[in-house]
Amino acid sequence: MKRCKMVTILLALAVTLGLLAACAGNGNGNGGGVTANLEVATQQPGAVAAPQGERQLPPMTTDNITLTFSIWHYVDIAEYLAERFMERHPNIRVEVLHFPGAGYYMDTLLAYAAAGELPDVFTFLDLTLPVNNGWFFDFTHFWHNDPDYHYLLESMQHLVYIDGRAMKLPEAILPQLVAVDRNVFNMLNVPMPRFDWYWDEMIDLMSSMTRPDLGIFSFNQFLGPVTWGPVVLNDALSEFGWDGERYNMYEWARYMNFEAEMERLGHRAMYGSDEWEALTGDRYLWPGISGRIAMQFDASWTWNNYWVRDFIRDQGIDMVPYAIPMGRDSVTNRRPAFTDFAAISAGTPHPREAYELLKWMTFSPEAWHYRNYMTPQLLNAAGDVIFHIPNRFPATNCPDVWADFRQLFPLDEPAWDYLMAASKEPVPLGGRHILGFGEWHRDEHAYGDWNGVIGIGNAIRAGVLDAFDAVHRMEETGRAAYEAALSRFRLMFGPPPAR
Amino acid sequence: MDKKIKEKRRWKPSGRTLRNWVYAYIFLAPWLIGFFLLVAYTLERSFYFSRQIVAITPVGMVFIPHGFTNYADLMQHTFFIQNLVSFVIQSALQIPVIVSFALIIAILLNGKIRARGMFRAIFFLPVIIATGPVMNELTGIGAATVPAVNTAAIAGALSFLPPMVQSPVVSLFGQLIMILWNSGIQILIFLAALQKISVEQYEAAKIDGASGWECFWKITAPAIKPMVFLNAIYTVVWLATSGQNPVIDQIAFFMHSGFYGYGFASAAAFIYSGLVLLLLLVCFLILRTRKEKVPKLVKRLDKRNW
Repeated sequence: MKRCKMVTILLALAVTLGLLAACAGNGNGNGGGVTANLEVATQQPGAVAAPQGERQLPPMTTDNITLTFSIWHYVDIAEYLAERFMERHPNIRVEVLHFPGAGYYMDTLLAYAAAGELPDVFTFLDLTLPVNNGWFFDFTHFWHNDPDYHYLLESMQHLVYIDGRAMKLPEAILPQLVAVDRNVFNMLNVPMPRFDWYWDEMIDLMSSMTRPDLGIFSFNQFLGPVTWGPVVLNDALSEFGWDGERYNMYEWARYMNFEAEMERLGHRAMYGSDEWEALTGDRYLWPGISGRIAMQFDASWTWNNYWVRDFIRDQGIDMVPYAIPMGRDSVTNRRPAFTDFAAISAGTPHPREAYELLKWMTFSPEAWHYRNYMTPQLLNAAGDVIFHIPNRFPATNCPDVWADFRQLFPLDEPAWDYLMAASKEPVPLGGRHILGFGEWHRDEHAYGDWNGVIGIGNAIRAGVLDAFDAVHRMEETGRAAYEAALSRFRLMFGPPPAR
Repeated sequence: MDKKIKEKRRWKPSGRTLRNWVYAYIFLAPWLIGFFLLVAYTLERSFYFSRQIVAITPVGMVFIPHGFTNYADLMQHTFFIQNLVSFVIQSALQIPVIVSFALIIAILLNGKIRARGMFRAIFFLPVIIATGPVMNELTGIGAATVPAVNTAAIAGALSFLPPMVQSPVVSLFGQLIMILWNSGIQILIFLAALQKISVEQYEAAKIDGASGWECFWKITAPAIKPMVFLNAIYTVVWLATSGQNPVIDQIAFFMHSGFYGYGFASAAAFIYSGLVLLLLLVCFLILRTRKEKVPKLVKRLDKRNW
């Protein structure tokens, strides 16, 4: 047993060294690579061109210091990474603060900020609170002098910036995907779609797989076409057709109407309904594990649930992961992904060291190697493996990290190869990176009054509103919310830097 | 001599002696000390916050003067106004129900029944255990509702009312158990008042041929009227600060929200406090005891006797 452990550790060390050799080669401000990646970055709104030439970060302190890092989830991985960071920097002690529960996490951060103890590096789940309270440290100077910056995924490069200032990095990326039940397709004698399927093929399946006589529904969804359409069809930078400065909501309206129609026609499995209870015997049985849906629109975290539950497979459910299909005319390979960001506290006394920790906890290839090594070994209190497959996808573009990462998934299922190839240009949802998004979404989509119906989304689903009639109002209010939030941002952080 | 008396009267306009004033302030002292030590400053700060944009930065609070804009914005905040109106309607419905229920239970518990102490404890128990998070958990699992009460049917029957009015009425029926739980202190106050009424008064009335009903209206009711007022005030404050009150939730939401913040929440709290004070004033105007009436009646009777 001991020998086995030693071999594992030696293997891990060998892979680490190999990885460092492979991924550190271009990391010293190599002009070609930097310029190439900068072009990608500066194409996006909000991005600022970094100075050309040799990139070098200022040296870190040699004094003994302590840094704090806060996270709401997966604390085991964070603690493991913190230990590895401390090994690299013996003079720096990293304290991981775990505030469990997404609902309380930001409130806890606020309490810490009020007490003057905001963690030096913190993940955040809502952009408004840190922006309106001036929590972000502007690390533009470090970012523009960092030889490693190009390891961050290209689609994330512009998201580092808010109003021209580098302020945040992606800490967790969880791609959205489609789980296709092979069993249902076989039962209905319908051929499985190709892994590189197109958007219109998925849309056709949504309206054609329902078989009321067999109690089969085409789909169930968490998020779906209305969120994905603007990104995969129009190469938008986020949901609602966000282009960096405004919302273009044509695709949103189209698929809002479409989803409402699909629901009305009974193609979506509506759990909680009388019909669902009559069919399954359990009113609140999650359709994703009912064996009665052809497609489940979901995210990578759900996959782990499929994997760990033997009884799901015992029922004959055979879910195959599919990437969200692209439009036939799409230019990019962007797909929506749940993304959490992390930032440095404006009050940290050690910004340079905090920046290093931020990189380590977000996109550092070396740290990602450690994540890949550690993730399958994490056990819960009962001693069971937590991640049969990882939830979080790499934030780095380092090919060796991705090659390692692939090994953590079933090697005999080619679907994962396609999914991974499709997961290298993730784009986040609005709440994490668009100024004013949360307020606009709440005030309009969720609670906006449309002729007495509360919530424009509800009005569309209830069939009292054609989504296209709401487009102008939504675009205008969205733009106003963004501008108001931008003004507040500038009130806290000052006018944008000269470009 | 007359001059001296006049001077004395000038210094004692209320007719109270110095000793009365001293006693009054000794009794008031704990409250006054507590108010000036713990409340006055925070109240002033809160009012200051309400006229600012307050940012909780990692290096301390930042205040950006905002005038009374927060108040103006709140007056146009649909959900806040809706919650305030619902609170007023709900309070107007619940206060009479809670106070009446407490009075009935207190009269019953004041009677000579077996295991009286145990029953009193049972009615007071929710005050001790069903508070704060426990109450939230209990309401969360539906323990505050009576399953037999079909709130959907009531809502259907009242569908002609605007939602702002309909919702509190329906919730009154949906929270019958909660109303019972909210009556513990009021029962205790009524019990204390009932036990202060001299038994001789009832005996004298009975000898004069008064029925139980007449005894209640002629002896019990006048004696406990000040307690009805006190209980109404207590109930308003209890409902206004309850953890189940959506206005409190909303103010907490404003406070923790990145979009609204402490300044907006403080303004909301002041508007809400003003409304609660208004409710208390209404209770006072309806239930106050008019003292001057008694002497006038006595004077009239005295004249007749002469």
